[in-house]
Amino acid sequence: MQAQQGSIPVTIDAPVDGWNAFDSLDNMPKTAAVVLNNLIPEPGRVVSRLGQILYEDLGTGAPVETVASFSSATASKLVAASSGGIFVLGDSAIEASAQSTTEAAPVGTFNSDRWQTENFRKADETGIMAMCNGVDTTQIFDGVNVTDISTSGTDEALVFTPNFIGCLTFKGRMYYWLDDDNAFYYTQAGSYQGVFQKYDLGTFTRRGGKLTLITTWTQQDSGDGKDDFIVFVFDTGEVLIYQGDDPETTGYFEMVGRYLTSEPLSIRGTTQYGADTIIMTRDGYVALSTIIQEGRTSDVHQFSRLIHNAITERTQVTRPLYGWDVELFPRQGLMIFNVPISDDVFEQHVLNTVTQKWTRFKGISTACMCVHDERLFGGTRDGKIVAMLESTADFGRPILYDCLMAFDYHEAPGTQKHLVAAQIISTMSNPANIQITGYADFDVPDLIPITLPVEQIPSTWSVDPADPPSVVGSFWDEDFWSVEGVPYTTKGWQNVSAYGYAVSILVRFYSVNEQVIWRSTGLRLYMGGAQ
Amino acid sequence: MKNLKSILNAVLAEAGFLEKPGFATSVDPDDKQMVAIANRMAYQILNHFNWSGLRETLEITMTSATRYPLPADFQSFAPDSFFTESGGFEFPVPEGRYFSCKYGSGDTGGVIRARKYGNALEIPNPSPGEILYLEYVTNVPIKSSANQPKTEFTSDDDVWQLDDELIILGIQQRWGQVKQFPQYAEWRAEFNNKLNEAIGRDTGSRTIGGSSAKGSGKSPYYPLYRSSS
Repeated sequence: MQAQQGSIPVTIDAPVDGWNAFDSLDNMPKTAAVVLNNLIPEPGRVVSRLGQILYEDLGTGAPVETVASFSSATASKLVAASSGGIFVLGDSAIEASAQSTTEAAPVGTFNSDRWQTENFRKADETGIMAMCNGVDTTQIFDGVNVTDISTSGTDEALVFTPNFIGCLTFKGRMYYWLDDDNAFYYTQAGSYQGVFQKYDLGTFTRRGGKLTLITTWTQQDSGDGKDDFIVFVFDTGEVLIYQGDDPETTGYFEMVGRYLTSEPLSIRGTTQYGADTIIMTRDGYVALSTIIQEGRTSDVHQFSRLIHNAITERTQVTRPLYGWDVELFPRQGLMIFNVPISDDVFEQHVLNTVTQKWTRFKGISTACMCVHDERLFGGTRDGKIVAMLESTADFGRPILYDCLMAFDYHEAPGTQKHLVAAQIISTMSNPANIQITGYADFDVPDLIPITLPVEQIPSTWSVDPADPPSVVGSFWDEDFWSVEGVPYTTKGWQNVSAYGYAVSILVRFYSVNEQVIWRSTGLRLYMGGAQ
Repeated sequence: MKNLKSILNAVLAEAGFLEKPGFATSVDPDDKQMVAIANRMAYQILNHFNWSGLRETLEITMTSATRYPLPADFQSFAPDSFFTESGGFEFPVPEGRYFSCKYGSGDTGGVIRARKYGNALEIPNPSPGEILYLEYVTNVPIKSSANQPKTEFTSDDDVWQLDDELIILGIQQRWGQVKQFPQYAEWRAEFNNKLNEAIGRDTGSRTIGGSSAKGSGKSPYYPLYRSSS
């Protein structure tokens, strides 16, 4: 771009390359974002995240540290734990609260609410969910009640207390493990309790440590295929991979690999992603296939490479906190990594599984998550269950969206340029509510306070509204038409000022009643002019 | 008469920019810039011409004092507006004659002379008891929503007292210059044209033309090449 008189318009895509915390600020793709909060990069556009609704208030006032999906042959229920109790919540439609809540165990029954769960269906049974918290005796939930796990039939020589901390179904049997131990316990084939056997892994580790989590991994497909492996991850970062289906029989269960990565962040910090397994570690969110190829020698091929710096910045400080978790939310194509910032405040690092681009969610403070009946649920620190990413507001309150786009030299790195105007082409019904601020040369001073706009609240039209007016209906010529289902495109230039070699804009807005689609960005700047 | 918010939003709207909910109290530097440009244009327009809309009448009853304070909103004297019933008043006065009057002992010929001295009007040879009538231009082209005079915009509700279109076009061309918009030159020309038009409207004019000297009417300036007798 040559220096010329007069300011010229420049068009840039919405930040479809997503949040970038890896590249240097002066060498970032122009469609990436230094900061991207609550805005999801999608193919060809960026969309604001949806908000939360209150699904149920358990009334405990204490943290809800477990939400889990129970699914049997006859029932599907959301299970939550808070204040030592276990609650069963009835299903409802999307954007609706729970139809019913019952107690499988009253408040005060258990000493910990941090349950790991696994569904299992034994032949001739409808199905159960094993629940382990590492403190209390492992519980078996049958859809209504919880009972202590049975260890009857286990050899008396095997002395152990079944207060397992984790459980996993693998090739037809249940695997359990204890906190502060390096062995796993497994049931007989086709069973989840009864006769237990122990398999000590301590002799196979080189770094010692304790077993943090067990997961599965396959080399060829995205399910439990013929090359399905069981993976043992230790708190030292050592990873043991075994193949086979019968740990009891020599030759039917053998170690096929030992690898090293960084320390896992949480027992809940793993999920399946296609044919791979993702593990949350102190160095980032890594794919097991990458660990095998790269070990801990390189971050470049990491699954979470694009937000590497942001993750390590968090893990260095908040790694001991509770709440590191990950859930794949297929209905919206998102993989959501829950990140504790403090005991009460959380953020989420979110991957769009379609574009493989990242964003960050703010304003959602849940210590646990689960997907149940195609809905994403979380537990709050004050005894509530929330349904996430469903409404256009967070509990009726506006959501703040912000994006600092990548600094761009506009093909003239040696020329000072003056950014004078900008516009966001989006579906925001009132584009004046989008606040745009210009910045230059990587200088991001204190943010200008953003004012909460007075938005039009869409009405629900009623043929025969009550008189006097009720909340049910609306009147002709008195209420605003609903904007629902009208994603028309809006635009509008705004004054922006920034002077320097590389310029950027910070885009912020609140919304309470609409999901905004950001389609494109317009800038107006001139080269080499005096400020 | 428009207020600051309406004026600035008119500028933005005409350029296809989004209107803003407010400017004066915003911490956004771009809003501050708009307010600063508005104040710059208000100052320039104020100083460019003695606008009739800003004129005020001042009566000074002379005493033996030689200096009379001017009003706080004094900007400039309206040319040739000094009047006394005795008729003999000179303002402005050439320096030599003034100092001769002020310090000399000669006869002033009954002519009262005056000059501006700081924020006062100095009359070295006052005529005690006589009233001096004059007009001056105020320095308050803006008034608050409570009708209080102001020298600059500090609130979105502040009202511009002169031609709205004049300041809108003035801000527009200044803002276009800052932003280096390609239409800046046209905006500048429009502002200058508007400025001339506004001055013309403000001063009034006389008709050049009309009947001949031998006709029934007697146009004061026609025919220009003939005697008016």
